Amino acid sequence: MTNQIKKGIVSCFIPILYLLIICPISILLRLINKKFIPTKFDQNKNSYWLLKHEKNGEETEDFNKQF
Amino acid sequence: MKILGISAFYHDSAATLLVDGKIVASAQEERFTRIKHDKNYPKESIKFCLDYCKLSIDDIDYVCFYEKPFMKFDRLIKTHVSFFPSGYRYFKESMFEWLSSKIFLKRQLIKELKKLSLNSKWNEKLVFSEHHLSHAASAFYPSPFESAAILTIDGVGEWTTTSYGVGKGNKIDIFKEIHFPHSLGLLYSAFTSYLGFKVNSGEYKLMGLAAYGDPIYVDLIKDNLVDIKDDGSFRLDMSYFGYGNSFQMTTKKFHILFGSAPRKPETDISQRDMDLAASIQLVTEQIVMKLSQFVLKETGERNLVLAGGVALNCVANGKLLKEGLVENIWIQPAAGDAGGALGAALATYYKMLKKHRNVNKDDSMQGSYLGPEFTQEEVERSLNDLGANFSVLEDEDLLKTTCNLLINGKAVGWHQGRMEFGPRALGSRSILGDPRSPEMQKTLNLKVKYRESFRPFAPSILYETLSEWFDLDTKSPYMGIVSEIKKIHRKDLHGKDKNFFGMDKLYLQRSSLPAITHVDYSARIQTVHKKTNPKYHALISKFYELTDCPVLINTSFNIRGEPIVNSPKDAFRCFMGTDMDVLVIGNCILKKEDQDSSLFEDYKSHFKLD
Repeated sequence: MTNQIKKGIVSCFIPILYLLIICPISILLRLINKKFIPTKFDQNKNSYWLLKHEKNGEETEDFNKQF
Repeated sequence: MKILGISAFYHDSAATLLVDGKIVASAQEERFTRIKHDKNYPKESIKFCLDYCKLSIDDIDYVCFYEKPFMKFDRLIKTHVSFFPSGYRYFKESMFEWLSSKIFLKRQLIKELKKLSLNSKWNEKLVFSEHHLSHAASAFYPSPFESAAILTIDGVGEWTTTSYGVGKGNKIDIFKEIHFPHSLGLLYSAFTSYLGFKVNSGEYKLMGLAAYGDPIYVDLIKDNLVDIKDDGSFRLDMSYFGYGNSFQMTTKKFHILFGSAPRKPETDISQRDMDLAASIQLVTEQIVMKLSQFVLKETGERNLVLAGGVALNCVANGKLLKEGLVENIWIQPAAGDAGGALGAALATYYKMLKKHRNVNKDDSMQGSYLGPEFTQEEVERSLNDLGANFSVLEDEDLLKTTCNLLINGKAVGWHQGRMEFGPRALGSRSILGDPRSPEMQKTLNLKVKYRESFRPFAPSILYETLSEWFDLDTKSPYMGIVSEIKKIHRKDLHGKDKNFFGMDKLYLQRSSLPAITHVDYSARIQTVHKKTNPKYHALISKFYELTDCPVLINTSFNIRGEPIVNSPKDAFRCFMGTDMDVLVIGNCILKKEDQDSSLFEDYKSHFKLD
């Protein structure tokens, strides 16, 4: 039963998340012509490689993180 | 120091146990649960790892999960923002999965670990590696190299789809990456899906099908779908792909480009389907070659190690060697996500804890025989419980009898020693046949494996005789490399034979080993070594002695849609449910005609087609 309630809450929360977070951010990014993800070829680039983001701090610390 | 590596919740869950840097046990969850590509928490695999080493969970110093869940969630949100306003249904379903469980992954893992013990401080013991670091670690640390360039290519991890770096001693440094949605793995999977095969399992079929076609769509693919730079980096035009914001891999625009809707599963395969398969295979090979060339040049290394699902493309791996682009190559046998469990454990030991690494000149995978094994006593007890009729033979007699049965055209189930870790059967859980038989490919495909007739079979060859039979001079113990059969063993095609197209090519005998020679004279080779699998080596040696042929057909011990068998019980059920003639488990030998007919079952219907 607890699981059912949890699932119900999650189901209700998703449209709210979409309307309050995804929609405004997406619209705002469109307005300022920014994109998180490039979706087309870029003939001006010589390479699509991205530098690996350097992480600060000790290796152990990084392994403790979920991000 | 005891470290448990876990991969789970996407596909191919697995667990690995590392003791003082040695890989002591590794297994995929599907082999225990009998659910192909099982993605659930690998409870049974963990239990096996602990039992095998007679350890309790409290003995474990660290548990490492193979990827970072919050980074993945970040990718998901940003992807939805980028593809807005389309894809709400996809958003709803993926968010439901995430918000119900995946976002609380750490809590979920601790809850599962607490079921095994309440004594350990799981919050401190549980650590996380990045997905591609796990792949890189699985490729470099067990390799036979002190230093090497590392290339990982797969569908997607958190953000990364491709990465490269360098491994030296116990260090790994990743330099550059390519990010989602631009993915060679997903490009290949998009074609897999378009040609009517299942994503994450049908890619092998596409690779096998490619040999029947002509790569006439290469330019169309490169002009429209993927932009490849000189350094091998690439980007996809996402207007052709649906996987960013829907449950479809390809969009209508993709279908228009190639002139039709996706092929329906299980319908006839046309010449066009084969040409498409050949085309995407060639594009993949070209990208892999460019990537490898660039990575070796940038790092100044002579050795290359590979992991990630695309590293299972053994045709591309074979081309790397054939073109002489790389001096030494080593490919992780469990290159897919299951191997992430192994990589996570290794990354914890060497990268996080900075432990010293001793290089094993053969490699540290022990032939990839890292799974469960059964004693002769356990096998006999199990077979008696199942009502099987069997004989027990001494080693020498067993080998001779098995070889004679193979020579007489029998399909033999071969269940010995520790189960393999990774997608390939390497002579521990294999179905064997005589490669000289012109009928064997068809018989095994249709009557034993119940799979598509076009799929080729792999040869197991004594390593000592490799250069006499194939154009390959390097070890391939994990079936990771495709090479061609030597010209002296090929049969010339005459007159009208040369005009055969598509599937008709299947019925032409191309060599003295027709059952393992693909239509382009290639074969996915497994070199067999006395050191890692003495019994299998002895069997092939006996076959060689009797026939002058040091090769056997080796295909995985399962039917279509079924995980490879694990226990003697699984093996017996598969034996009784197919047209397999003989089963050899340990020193027990079972013939089909001796079995109680009431034990036959409709086995096929237990498994969904893959």
